[in-house]
Amino acid sequence: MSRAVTLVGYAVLAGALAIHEVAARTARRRGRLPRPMTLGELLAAAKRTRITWWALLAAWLWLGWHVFARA
Amino acid sequence: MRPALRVVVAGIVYDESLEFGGDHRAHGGAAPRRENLGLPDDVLIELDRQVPSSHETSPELCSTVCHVHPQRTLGMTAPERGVWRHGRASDGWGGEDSVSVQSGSIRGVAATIATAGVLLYAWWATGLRPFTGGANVAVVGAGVVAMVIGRAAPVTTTPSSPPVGARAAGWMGLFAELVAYFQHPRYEHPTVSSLVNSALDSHIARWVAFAAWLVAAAGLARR
Repeated sequence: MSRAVTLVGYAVLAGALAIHEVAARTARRRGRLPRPMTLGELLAAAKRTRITWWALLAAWLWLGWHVFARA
Repeated sequence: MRPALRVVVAGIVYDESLEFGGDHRAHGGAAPRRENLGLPDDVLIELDRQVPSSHETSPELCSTVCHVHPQRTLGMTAPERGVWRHGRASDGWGGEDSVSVQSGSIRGVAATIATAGVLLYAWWATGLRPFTGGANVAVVGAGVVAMVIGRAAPVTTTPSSPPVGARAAGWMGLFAELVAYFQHPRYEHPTVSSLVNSALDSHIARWVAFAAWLVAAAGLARR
């Protein structure tokens, strides 16, 4: 039961992100302003400052190491 | 009757847009041929030549080739459009404004070789035994190399508004992950890591995911 609840929770979050992305892309295509960011734009925003850019790179390296070298 | 096609080429320096219709050149000169592009929603713009000083003063050149969707471009704010600096419009029918076939084929061969190299390396790296020094070096080293390569690529986009929804989902995901992480047994309280490990159990799945991770690393390092 706990497993099912946890999986449903992850699925809801993934679905929310997907809906957000679709809504942002739709708003961008139709030229609405202001509009939500797409995930790509969110990444681009995070990359604009040097410290967050380095943090992103470090996090991405850690993720790859965690998934591919430690699992 | 086709709608009039309009294209916007924007300059970063002054944050001003230069609009022109049909297949006019970016600097406002005469069109090379044809009166209409004949393409209602897509036009190829090759950004490889400096626009005369009436529009720009920076000598910097850009060699990026972009597909531009006019409706999308016209709806953008100036910063969003500002990824283009100098440009000329291609009529899409060949001639002096099209990308040369020779350079295109060289790029194609190089891209094919690079892709094959990444896939071969990914297959080898994901076949290494986990929790070993070799696996650590193969994964992290490749990630660093991908980021260094990606670092050399040009700037791409500029965003416009705060990502409230994505931020909330991120925090909720982190919370769910922490709750699951501190509870046991793992099967009853799976973390994202444990789910990913299950999904990447086979060598083929790990191979594909690792190659995608490398490509994303290069993209992430691009500024």
